[in-house]
Amino acid sequence: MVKKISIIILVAVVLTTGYLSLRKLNYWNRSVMVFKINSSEQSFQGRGGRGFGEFEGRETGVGRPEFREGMQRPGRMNMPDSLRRRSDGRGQRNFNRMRSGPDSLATGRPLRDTTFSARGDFGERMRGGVPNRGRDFRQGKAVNLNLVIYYLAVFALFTLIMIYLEKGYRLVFKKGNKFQENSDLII
Amino acid sequence: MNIFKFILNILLAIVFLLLMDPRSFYGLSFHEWAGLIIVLFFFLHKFVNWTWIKKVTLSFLRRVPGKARLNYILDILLLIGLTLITLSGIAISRTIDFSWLNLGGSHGFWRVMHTSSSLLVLALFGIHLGLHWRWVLQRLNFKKQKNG
Repeated sequence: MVKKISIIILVAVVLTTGYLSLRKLNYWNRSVMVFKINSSEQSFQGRGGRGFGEFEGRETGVGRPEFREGMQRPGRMNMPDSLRRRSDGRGQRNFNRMRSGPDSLATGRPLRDTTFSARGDFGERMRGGVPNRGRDFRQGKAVNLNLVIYYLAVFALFTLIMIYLEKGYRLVFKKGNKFQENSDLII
Repeated sequence: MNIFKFILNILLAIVFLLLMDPRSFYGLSFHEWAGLIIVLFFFLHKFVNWTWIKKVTLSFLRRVPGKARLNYILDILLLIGLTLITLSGIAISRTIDFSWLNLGGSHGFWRVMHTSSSLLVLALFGIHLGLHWRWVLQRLNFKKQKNG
């Protein structure tokens, strides 16, 4: 009895976390994104992958897309003067500082959700004792498994669904199943 | 042999999950190199199961259990998915220079291809594991071996 209850609880947990992870990762939209590609789409040309929602882990409706690896950041020339002035002499753009500014760009833009960003925001971080000032993650040595756990939950969800589908199939088509059961082709 | 297969499969699953997010584990450099290396291990996975592949291939159109047929089709889909992941990964790689391959297409296209195919393959891997769950339990000795 205890075993059965434990299994039920475990299944419920896997189903719930899997479903929540699917939503958090925007899994379905990003999975079928490749089928929505129109080769004549202008926005694909020369872009760093922006505009098709492939910003991994971004929730829909969470403001502007994050600048992720491979994404092109806004050109300096496209920045409002206030932002450009602020980043002068720093060598790196600091988006946190930009956001706190008084101009329309800073106040009108919703705060980024950094839940799925291993980089988090672009604020200063210490890397090997040296502040990296939001430098690209490619040079990083950090281990941050937050997103991996979401993917693990999705993986577990699909596994669990398949296990129980197979069990259900066995129950329904139990009769005349000898061939299936005894075959050496069934691993 | 079964222990070897089991350990290989666990390693494949762990590394594949780590590869799902390029930033999670030692950055893009690890992602790209491990992504290339894992392809070899997938081929090793196929190699150690070659007897099964051969048997089902030869009798696929004749009398094959439905589950074996489903597994076979799933394996083909996984192979296609992994090929797409590898190709698109090569096309958008940044730390390893594959520009000499001239794969063509826009960076954005390959990025979307890489993301979508990896997500679909993750789902297929989950289904693949679900279909082999009894084998996993047997390796863990939670269930009695089918043949004693």
